[in-house]
Amino acid sequence: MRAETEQDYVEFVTHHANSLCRTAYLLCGDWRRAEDATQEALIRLYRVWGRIQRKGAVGAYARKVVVSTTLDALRRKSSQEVVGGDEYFANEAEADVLGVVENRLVITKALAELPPRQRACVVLRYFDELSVEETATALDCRPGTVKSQTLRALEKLRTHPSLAELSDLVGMK
Amino acid sequence: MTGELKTLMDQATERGTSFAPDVTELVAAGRHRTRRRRAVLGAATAVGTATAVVAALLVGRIVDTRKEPQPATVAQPAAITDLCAKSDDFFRTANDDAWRRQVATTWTDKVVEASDADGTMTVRRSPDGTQYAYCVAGVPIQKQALGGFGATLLNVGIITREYQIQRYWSMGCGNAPVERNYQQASCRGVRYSYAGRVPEGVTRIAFTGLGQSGDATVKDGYWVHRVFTDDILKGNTDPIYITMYNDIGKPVFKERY
Repeated sequence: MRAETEQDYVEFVTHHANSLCRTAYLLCGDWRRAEDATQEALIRLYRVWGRIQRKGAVGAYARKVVVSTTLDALRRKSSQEVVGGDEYFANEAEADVLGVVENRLVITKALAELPPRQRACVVLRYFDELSVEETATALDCRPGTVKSQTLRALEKLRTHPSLAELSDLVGMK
Repeated sequence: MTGELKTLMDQATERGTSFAPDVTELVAAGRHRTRRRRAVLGAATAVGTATAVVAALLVGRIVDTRKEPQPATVAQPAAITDLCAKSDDFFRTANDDAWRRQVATTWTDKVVEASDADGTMTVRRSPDGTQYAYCVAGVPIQKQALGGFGATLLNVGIITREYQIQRYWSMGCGNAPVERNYQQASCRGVRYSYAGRVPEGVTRIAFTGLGQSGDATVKDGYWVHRVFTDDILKGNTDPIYITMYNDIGKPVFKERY
């Protein structure tokens, strides 16, 4: 890779790594995993940087790689899976009674109960504020799928008990 | 509701520190992968060419029915008996079979080791004394001591984390390891192996979890520890925590791994 192209990559990482990591965190609910997934995604991005930069789609591709890396790491078949990990996290959240009223626990818990694709749709559409088309590109699916998955996810979130409890606290409808 | 969702998610991702990976390390890792991919592609091309040449030669020989003397037994490459990764360079080494084979055969200087019935976790030092590797070994499958077989690894601090710790785990049935895809309901044992560098000021590293507690073995600035449960389902409410203490007994680091 040429020096100036590599410098562009360095600048991209410097300015966007934190934002990508936040997206990864919402997808997996664990900062450690999010950081690892983000770093893995950025390393993968390096290899195709020149080609992607010429296409002018760096941001979209970076987000696509972060989403796939994070969701891949969550799959049970992943070689990096923590045995019993899901249950560990669930049990810890249950035990933290006081923490339930904290917004961050409420939303991460609610997101955790969504299927991965629905969760990704919600995070990309409403956290990263991507359009339906951009979300479809990031998830490698059709826009219609994004719409239906998002709709189902929102329906579940609306009826989630923790969010209902929160809405009483903050007046959310 | 979507406006509130955005607010909630923004709040959920706020934390004191900003994630800023070491870009130099990322670039180095990216370069390495690019080189490796090119090497693999080059090798695949070479193999394809060689196959075509051999096929052409064989076709040429079909008309010649004379029997050639058979070559002596071809030497098999030595089995990789350790699942290793370099202490500060997980990405480049964990999946590099040639590197792992080299470590297993020539890095014989063991800095510190934890052993039990089904294997060991070892910190090995390179012959020139400048590099270190974390290796798990001795997981016999079908009577072969293949440390990497049936085991997988989780790197919990790839590049930037100060307290980089490498963990390996393998499924077990009692004390007998089993393959990961071996679907036997009664085999829910797991052996975890940990290794790391002792951070500055830390004098004791304690493990609690899965109904057990114990201290890691520490020597020459490195530490190792192994934890076993014969049934992972028993430990669901008792996750493994690593706590590091300084010389006055004050905990300076606590993480769940």
